[in-house]
Amino acid sequence: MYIASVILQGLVLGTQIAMVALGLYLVSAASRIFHLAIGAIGTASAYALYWGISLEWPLWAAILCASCVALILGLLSARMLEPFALRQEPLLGLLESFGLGIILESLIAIFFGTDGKSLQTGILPVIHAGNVFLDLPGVITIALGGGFALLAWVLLQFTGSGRLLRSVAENSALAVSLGVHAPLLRRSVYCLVALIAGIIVSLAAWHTALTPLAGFQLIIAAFMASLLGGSDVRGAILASYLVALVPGFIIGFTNGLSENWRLALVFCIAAVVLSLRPQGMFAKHIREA
Amino acid sequence: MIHSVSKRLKYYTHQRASAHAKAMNRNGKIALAIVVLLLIVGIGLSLRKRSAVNNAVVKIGVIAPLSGDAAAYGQDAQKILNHRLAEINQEKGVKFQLAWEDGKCTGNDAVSAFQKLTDVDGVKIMIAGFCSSETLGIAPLTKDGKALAVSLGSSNPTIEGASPYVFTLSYSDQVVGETLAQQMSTFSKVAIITEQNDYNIGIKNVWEKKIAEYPNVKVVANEIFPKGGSDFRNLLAKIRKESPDALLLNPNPGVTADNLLKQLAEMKDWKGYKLYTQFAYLADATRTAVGDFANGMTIVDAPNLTDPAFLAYKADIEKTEGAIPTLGNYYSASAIDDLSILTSLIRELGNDQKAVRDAISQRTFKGYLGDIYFGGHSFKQGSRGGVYVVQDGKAVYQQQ
Repeated sequence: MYIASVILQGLVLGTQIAMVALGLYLVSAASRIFHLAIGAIGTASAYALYWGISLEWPLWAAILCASCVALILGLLSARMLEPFALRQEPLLGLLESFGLGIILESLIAIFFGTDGKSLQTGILPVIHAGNVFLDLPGVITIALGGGFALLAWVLLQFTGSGRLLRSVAENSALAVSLGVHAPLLRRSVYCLVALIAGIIVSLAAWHTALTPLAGFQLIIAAFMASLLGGSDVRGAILASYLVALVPGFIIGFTNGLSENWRLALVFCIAAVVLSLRPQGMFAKHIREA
Repeated sequence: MIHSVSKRLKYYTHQRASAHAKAMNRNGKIALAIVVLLLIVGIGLSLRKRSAVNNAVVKIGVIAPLSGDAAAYGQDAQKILNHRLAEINQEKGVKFQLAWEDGKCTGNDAVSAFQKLTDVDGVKIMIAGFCSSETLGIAPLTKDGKALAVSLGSSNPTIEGASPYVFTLSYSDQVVGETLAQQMSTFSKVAIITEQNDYNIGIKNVWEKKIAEYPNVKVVANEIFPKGGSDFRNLLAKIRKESPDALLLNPNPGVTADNLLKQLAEMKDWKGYKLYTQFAYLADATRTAVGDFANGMTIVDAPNLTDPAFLAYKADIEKTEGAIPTLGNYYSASAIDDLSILTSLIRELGNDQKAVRDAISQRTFKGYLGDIYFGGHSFKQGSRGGVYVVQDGKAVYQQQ
């Protein structure tokens, strides 16, 4: 049963990483920018939820407050990164986004302190299945994450909106000349991604604890998963589970290796995979002219 | 010819006289400059002395965790020290001011805090740090006598001899680690889960060494998690797989410790093991989230302080400054004694870190901790381990 426990915990972490990686992928598809502030935006939204709960607001009001914070920060980041998307300067956009993330995390640390916060006092509700168990936030994370991932893939591959998004990513100027409102499309994507990040970081905080760097830890893993996965959303999601499950198994079944090895193992996996397939696991090989 | 010679002589005489006058003039100027300089220095020194007499406020630095996971401990210490300082400043003699810096329970932050206190605030004597990582971080910087640091709570055994200018009023983790091993030696399969920081690694090292002396005891799991970790479910499942009879929880006090206990309590169907731990779960408030789950847990720390005078004084502090829920009796007393000893020595010997250091090293002081004597050591001598068992949510003291 131990193996089932390792798999379940790996699935929870993998889903958290996959959702943030999905956000990275969507923004990257819309603007070619790696939006590293997504993690911090999710953290800010989760802190808004915590703030509402600590003020003893009704849960729906706290969730509404957290959603508003996510949407406002999504719009703000869209406004900040739009010039870089237009000028197709992804590196400067990445730096701007990284800076925004650092500012948000610093502000959170100043206002709320750096100690961990619990969204729920007491022991979390646990769902048992035989000898295997998982807490409620873990179950919701897996269910919601799986749904989001499937929905995103279907939307991107089989719907008009997905085709529009991909056309903007491919050639923004051409798409605009054909009547596509690219800035509006990008703003929508930024807001959607901010909402997803808010939900995922809040669930992660409920599962463990909320700290100003909660989102940063996820974005690092998600960024790595995006690089490992290549240019395909399925690759990014698969790589997310890979960087969560494989170190979990290695630590779980090796005497002498403890949890403080996890990040080192994640980087080892990334180094091995990228040295074998520099274009990522799922990237299509394109013949250069 | 004679006229010409006379003229030349006159000329040379005039030249020499002029040169002499110039030299005299220059010497006079130099002498005048020296006199003025001496006057300025004299006036400056007298003003400085007068200022020292008039504004006899000595800054004592304090480095403690005011933010981060262990912030609750620093904030409790802040209440106690501020309360005691107000009383001390009502007495005759030199007045004191506490310069607070946040060590965040890490060596790096403590070093920054130390440099700010010594270089900017001009602090020579400080109460620092609270966490072992803070004290071990600043110890090398004090070796040249730049400042004296007397910790109220650092307990890692490697503090002993780390610097001639570092002392700690805490008991050593040597005592805690060995007492924990002795308590757990009645079991055949034991396990430990440790947070990766100086305090906890110190306890783990001592415990490992001592438990190895019991041939019938096998350590079936020895897990370490990164500092400030928040998800322990995999590690706990890994330990559970080995079915230990006794489990030692060894996290740093604070939110990390709270999360570890909560996640262990989630595993309701894991039974048949006994829990052991250290200071992290001594305060009753640290176990309230898990309710009855912690009943039966054995906690090893310093012997309980039952001195009625201390308990009354602590109650008085809580009345005026607010509750002190996490620091525990031992470290509350050590905070009071730390400030009392340093201020009395500064009043007696001046703000001189070397003289105060010599006095601390050799003298015996009376405080709420009893007789405080270092005898040339970094740790207060004569500390023993105290055993507590959680009963109905309260840590009940078992033995002296």
